[in-house]
Amino acid sequence: MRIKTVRSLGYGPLPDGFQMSLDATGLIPLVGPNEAGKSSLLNLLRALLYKDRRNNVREAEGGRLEVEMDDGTVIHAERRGQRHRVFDAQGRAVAEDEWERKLAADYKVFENVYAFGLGELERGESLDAKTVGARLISAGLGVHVDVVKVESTLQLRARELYAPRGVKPPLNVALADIRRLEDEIARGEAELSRYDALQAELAAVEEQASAASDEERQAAADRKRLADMDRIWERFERLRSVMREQAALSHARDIGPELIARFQRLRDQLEASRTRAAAQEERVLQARLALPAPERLHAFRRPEWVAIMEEAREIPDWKRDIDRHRGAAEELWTQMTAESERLGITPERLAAGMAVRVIEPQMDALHQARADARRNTAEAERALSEAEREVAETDALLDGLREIPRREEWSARRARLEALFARPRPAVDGPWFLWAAAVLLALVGAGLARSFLGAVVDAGAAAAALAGLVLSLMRRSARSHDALSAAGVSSWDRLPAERLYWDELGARVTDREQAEERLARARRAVDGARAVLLEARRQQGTAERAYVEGRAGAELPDLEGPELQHWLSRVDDALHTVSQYRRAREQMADVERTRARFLDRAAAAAVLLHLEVQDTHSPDTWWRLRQEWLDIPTREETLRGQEADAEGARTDALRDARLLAECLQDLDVPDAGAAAARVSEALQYEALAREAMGLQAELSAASHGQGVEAFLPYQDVGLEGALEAQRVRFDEIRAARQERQQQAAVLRQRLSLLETSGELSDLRLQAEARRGEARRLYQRWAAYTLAAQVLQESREHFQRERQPEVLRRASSLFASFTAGRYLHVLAQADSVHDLAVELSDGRRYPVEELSRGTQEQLYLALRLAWIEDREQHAERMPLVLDDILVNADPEREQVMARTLVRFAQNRQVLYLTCHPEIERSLKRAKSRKAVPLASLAGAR
Amino acid sequence: MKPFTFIHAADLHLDSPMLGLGRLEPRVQGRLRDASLEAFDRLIDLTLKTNAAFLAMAGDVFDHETPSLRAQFRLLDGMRRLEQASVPVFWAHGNHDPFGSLSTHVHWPDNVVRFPAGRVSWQRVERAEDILCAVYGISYPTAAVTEPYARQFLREDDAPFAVAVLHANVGGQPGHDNYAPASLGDLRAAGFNYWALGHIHHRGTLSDDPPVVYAGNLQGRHVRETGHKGAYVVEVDAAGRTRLTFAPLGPVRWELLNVDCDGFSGWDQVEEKALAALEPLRPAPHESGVVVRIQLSGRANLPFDADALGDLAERLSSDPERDGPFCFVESIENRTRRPRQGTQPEGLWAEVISRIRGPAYDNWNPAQVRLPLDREAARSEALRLLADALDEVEPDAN
Repeated sequence: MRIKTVRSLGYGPLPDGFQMSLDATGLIPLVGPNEAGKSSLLNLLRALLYKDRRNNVREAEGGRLEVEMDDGTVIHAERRGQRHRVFDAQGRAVAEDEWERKLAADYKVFENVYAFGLGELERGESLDAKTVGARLISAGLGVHVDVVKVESTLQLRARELYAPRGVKPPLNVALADIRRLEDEIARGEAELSRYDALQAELAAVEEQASAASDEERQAAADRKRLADMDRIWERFERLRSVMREQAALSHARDIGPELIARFQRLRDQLEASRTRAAAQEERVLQARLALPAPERLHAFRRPEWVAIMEEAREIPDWKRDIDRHRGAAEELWTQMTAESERLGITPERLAAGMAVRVIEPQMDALHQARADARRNTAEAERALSEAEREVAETDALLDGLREIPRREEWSARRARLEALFARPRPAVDGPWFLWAAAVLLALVGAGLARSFLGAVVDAGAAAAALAGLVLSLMRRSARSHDALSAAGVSSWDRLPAERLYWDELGARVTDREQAEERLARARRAVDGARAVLLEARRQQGTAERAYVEGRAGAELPDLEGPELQHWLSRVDDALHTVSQYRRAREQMADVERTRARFLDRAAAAAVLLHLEVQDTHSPDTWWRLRQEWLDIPTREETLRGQEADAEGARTDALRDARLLAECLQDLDVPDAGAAAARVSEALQYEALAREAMGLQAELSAASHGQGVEAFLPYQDVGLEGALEAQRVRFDEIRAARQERQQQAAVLRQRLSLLETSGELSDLRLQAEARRGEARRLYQRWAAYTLAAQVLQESREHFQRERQPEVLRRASSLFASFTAGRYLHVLAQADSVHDLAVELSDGRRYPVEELSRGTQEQLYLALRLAWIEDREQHAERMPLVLDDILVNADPEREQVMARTLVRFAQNRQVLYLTCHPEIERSLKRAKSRKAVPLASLAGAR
Repeated sequence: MKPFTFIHAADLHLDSPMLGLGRLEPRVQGRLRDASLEAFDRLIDLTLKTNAAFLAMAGDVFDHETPSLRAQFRLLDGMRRLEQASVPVFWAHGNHDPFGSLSTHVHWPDNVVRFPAGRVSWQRVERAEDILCAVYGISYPTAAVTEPYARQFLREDDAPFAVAVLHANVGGQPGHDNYAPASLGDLRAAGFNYWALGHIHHRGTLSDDPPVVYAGNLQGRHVRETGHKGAYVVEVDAAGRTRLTFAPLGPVRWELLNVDCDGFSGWDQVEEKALAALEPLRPAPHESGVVVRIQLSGRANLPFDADALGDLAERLSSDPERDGPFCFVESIENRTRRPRQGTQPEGLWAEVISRIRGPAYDNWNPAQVRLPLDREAARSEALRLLADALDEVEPDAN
């Protein structure tokens, strides 16, 4: 290509209308002073040849260019501002890319290699020799881009996509994501394999939760039960009190209602019998009183009522004792009540509470000892009671046998009666004075007979005989009478009946003996039982005290120091009060027994006192008694009748007494008073039992059917602790249940998630998508890597093959420029950028060490060498040089001028200069005629 | 014989993820994920709707040997629905769900007949005391079965019609694992009236007499499984003749769309043409969406810009209402080349072209990354990259 004409349409200092015709090859100097438009012409040529936006052309500026291509075609290029147009000789537009292909060098190559000034060279050497070299070499490779930079860019792009040890590049991120997703998928699949185990675990946890729920319900029920129990705790206390009272009356518990009714009936019956017997006795008494005194004396055994009288004299003492015991008992009772109220608790409860706390381990032994002692006492009491009942029964039996004479008396009487009965009844019988009168009469008759019958009969002897006979008879009669009297027989007529009576009485005598013997045994048994009972009670007292002390000690740990001592003293007071109370109750019982005895005895004594008062020998009494005496037969009859009735009544009373005794035996009491007390206790026991039943029903309801047994474990410690423990237990169970349920919920959720969750599917989908993305990134990375690698290999190969030729040409030109000082231009084997030069003596210098002018000459040589090499197969572009020889010394300047002229033989070279010496050098080198720019552009 | 109908399905690949997606959008992720399960539900609906005598599933019911419980329960629900309708299900296990290593945690109802592994067994299908047919089948014990299972099929029944269910590569079709290899002759010689095959995901009939049929998979899983996917409704008349009707069941369809960008120099031109090309591919009424991969071809002066391609894919994807049908462009591949120039490659460019097409890169393995590499595509892309960077033009393919 050569430029035919160039015209300015107003471009920089080049005026509109500036035109230059250059239609020739060879070196054409374009000469002009500063500001003549040399650099503007250079820029205008660039702007006219290339549309490149880097051409800074203002809108009003522009120009036209006519060139002739190597093939002879003429092309026109025109620019107006940023508008660039290329068209052929016929005016047909040529596409920009087609035009650039025709040029075979892009703007950058043209700017650096074809149309450059000293600035480009200077800029190149001052900035970066590598860059300049690379550009030159790139140009040498046949491409118009910076190949090395492309390589770097491709490698950078590849590294931006993936780095083997990188983290942030997207392919690294994608690969990390894939690994993460694969891990999560593996975990999800492992979770799947745990599905069956989870189900089994869920079943187990649900079972545990169910069990915990049941346990919780049970605990709630227990808690409610305890709360209910606590609500009626006072009822339990009452029940305990009742049970203690019952225990105190335990001896009466076996007395059933039938026995009670039987006792009451028998007691009433006995009372009635006794009343009847007493009435009958009264009647007998009256009947006997109606009898003469001896009979009366006989009827009433004086020693008996004397003893009763003696006893009766003690009545005032008894009354005083009663009053004293009652007063003491009431006082003690009052004290105890006050003490208990002051302490706020019952002494028993206090003692019981003490026992459990402190010496609970000892309590079993103490309790056992107390129970043994109580049992021993109860057995002793029962033995005593039995013995006393035996005594009473025997005594009652003896009551009916008191009138029976003892065996000595009966034997004597029976012997006398037998003797009397064996003896012939005396001829005479009568009182001694009758016998005395008969003796007197006999004596008188004997005297008379002696006087009248003296002859015949010795009257005196006869009288004496008669008197003796009478006396004998009288003695016999007297003896007989005495014998009768001694035998207690009033007359011989009554002797058979009396004998019969005494015969019959013999069996009763045996009865009495046996009864007395039995009574003696019973009394000995009573004495023994009392001794045993005393010992048992002593031991029981010891055991009770030990137990009470033990229980008292049980409360000790709650208190300390003075407070403990004070509390202990209070406990002692309470226990003392209890013992006093018990003694008072015993005394009261004694009083009651004494009172009952007194009443019985007093009643009898009152009757006898009345008799004693009346037993005087006043005339009136005697008179009245005489009158009564006359009625003796009748009265005796009446008496016998009354006695029979009395006997019947006694018999009835005895029977009733025996029945009552049997009843008392059944009742296990010594006497009726005790029986009444026992029955009263039994009734009380029964009432307590009913109350206990009611309480037990309440407690059973409150304890939800568990009964009183549910309260027993808490009787000494109360329910508060149990309630709190139950609350804690309930909370624990509920917490455990909730925990189990939460576990079950979590497991169910996990299972449900496993069954319904698309997480695993999502993960697999995400992993697949990520793999797809990674594959694309990998593909892109591979493309960049491959491109960079192939480009590098190609460039290196190309350089190895082509670079020597360029360097050879450059060496030749550079040696010419330097008049043979530098023979070679060298490039490093592994880098085309690091240029060096070699002196004729073989020394080598890197470019950087060359002088400025020499560097410029080297770069010019490289450019020219490359152009020659390139243009073997490409369009020959015009070369535009802007005063590039100014830094050369005159010698080299001339050499370079010649070289340039020679170089311009087949192409167009425009040399712009403002230096006349360079113009002359070019002229001397046979350049074409210089074109004066100033004349073309006109003066400014 | 009594006429009857049965359903032939295969390669359900339940809970299979979509493979090779270039990108994933949350708005379609759920539907892509559930597509195989939804297709299965439609299969059950179809079985009930057609009053089918039985359902034959010719292998690869599950995509994975450890399928998700969600998929297991979905299958169980479907089996129970068929059990309620007294419809037996014949299940021959394939290489994706081998009998021996398939890990499931549910108990299949009595109507499910799972053919034993490695041994052909059969069972009659009766309806109203009429013997309709006998169904034979065999399951894979492990994933890779190289034995010719088809040769084990011998008729032993007295039924008027016999169906063989087999998961196999018949005829050694390329691109598929050659499991249970069989020839068409083997199948014809066995004397069955219908071969219900699985394993090849493209449906097709290898033979008309007797019908040897691949039902294809139920739901396309990647870009090579394009078009409608579903199952065959097989009607058997009184003479034992069969009539096959394809029932599209897949809710999501894959499509590969080529857009010729010859002469284009801007993305706007690409977008306009791609939109026009996408229009006929919009989801059918029975479909919930279409996944499209676009390949740009022709000579165009388009920069090789992955970000621009991603942006364009997003722009081309329809933005449906929630749960509405969607058209999801999962990726755009730029296979265009720069505009042709008159000059022949020279200098360095010629060297580059020569090297990049040379044998030195036939087995090129650039990095130890466990990902497949399409070397030819990498070469093409590298060439395009270099052409862009060196301001050159790719030559025509060799």
